Amino acid sequence: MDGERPGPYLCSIFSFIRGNVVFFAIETKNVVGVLEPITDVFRDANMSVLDGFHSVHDDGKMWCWVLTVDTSKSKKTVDEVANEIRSLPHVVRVEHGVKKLGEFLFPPFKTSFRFMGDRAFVWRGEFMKDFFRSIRKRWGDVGAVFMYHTGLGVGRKAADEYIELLGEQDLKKLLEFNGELWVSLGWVSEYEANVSEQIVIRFWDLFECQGLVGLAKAPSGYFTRGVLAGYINKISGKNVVVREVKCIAKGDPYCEFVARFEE
Amino acid sequence: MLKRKSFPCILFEKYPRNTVFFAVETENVTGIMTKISSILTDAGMSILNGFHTLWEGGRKWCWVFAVNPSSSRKTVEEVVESIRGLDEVLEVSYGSEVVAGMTMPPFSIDLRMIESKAFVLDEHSIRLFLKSLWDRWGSAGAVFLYHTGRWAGKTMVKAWSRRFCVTGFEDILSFTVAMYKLSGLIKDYELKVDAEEAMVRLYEYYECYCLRGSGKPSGYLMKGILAGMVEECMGVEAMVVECMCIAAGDLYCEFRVKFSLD
Repeated sequence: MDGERPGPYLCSIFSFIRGNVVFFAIETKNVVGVLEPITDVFRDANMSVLDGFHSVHDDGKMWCWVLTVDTSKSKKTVDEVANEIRSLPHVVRVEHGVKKLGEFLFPPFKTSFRFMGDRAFVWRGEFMKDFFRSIRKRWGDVGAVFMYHTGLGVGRKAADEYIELLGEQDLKKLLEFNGELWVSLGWVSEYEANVSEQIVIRFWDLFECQGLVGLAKAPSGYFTRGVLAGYINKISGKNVVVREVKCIAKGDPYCEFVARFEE
Repeated sequence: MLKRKSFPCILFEKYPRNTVFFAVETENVTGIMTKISSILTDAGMSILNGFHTLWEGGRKWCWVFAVNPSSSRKTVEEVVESIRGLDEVLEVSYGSEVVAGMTMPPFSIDLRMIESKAFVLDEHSIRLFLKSLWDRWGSAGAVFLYHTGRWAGKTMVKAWSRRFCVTGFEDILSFTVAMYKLSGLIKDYELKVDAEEAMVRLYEYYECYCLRGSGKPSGYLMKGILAGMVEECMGVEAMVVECMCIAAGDLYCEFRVKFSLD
């Protein structure tokens, strides 16, 4: 890969939590330095900060932090720590606790995911794998046709929207935009897009094929093939044939799609 | 059920051009976050969105975040040097790159949720997928989703039981909806299970949420998943009806699952 990026760095939204762990959700005004006094409270209590995420919201006016802390060596109770945080300047709301379901712990409060201003949903890899495996196992080749043609529609609609959004008609730039979007959604870990007489697009760890690694003997990215065909067709205005020539599902290091314009 | 306000997690957004992304890897030591945030506060840098994660069995800790340096009293490089100077810090990557008008981190991120890779499906992508499915295939699309869901439901039962030792329809169902809530696939839920049937009420269920305004019940994937779960857990065919749906204008989606067709 040209210009390979450093990383990947792990970003865990939630881990499977067991043991002496408590969930906190802290909402504050968005002020420079608001994090430090909160982490001070946890440090003074000897509570170790584990996984979590923080976000700016309400047009930059508010900031919130959702996290898990290990309380096993704590010198204070969870309620004492929560009250200390509540008394800090700029802190608006603090919720904490755990909800038990069998041996598993869940947060007692609600969270909502956002991506580029839209509501977002997270599919765990296991679920993604089940979904695409179910299509193959239940539908066989019919499933492949279904996914290809559904992808074709997705690609065409996506092209319309991105052309308008970016004010851009250049195929390479629009393929790069799509690639970056897919990287940031976690659908691929990396991509390359080369446009010359033919178009070659490579995806590393493509979401559609990852669950079929070891199961498939042929390229399996039917939905992606459809998306690319619809996308390129709409941008270029030309008929295009897209083939997947390499695929991680059949043991290649990446998925490679080659698009050729029809005469 | 939806009265409590939720806490947002911004996975990605359109950042201003001057945004700087940091990835800081450290030893997992209590208080390390205070030290790093203190450096950022001293510089007058505002911390925006980010994630922090334990890894390598809890020995290491990683913090990936975006900062707004517009009011900063120090250069980004000075701040990076101060962070690198901390004893517990192992590695710092930083910067930004602009691709097709979007300000992106210069490093790659491996998003994870509960011991598995995580894929983000934004509302827009799901809507595109479902609309294309409907436009291209009509009611055959519904059949496709239902039976794919049914197969996935059976597979989920096996997977939950094998990986997490959760068994029996009621526990599997409770675990599934709790996981759905954690993943943002629903906002909340209510369940009622008795010997004859189950009532599954889902608030803002994603499949139907993305088809709001379509005027008809749209939870075919979920109908299939529930049917598949019953078949795998109980060995009987299930009849699943979506009697309320947000896509049809109701306040929530409600699925009635009958365990026997007799």
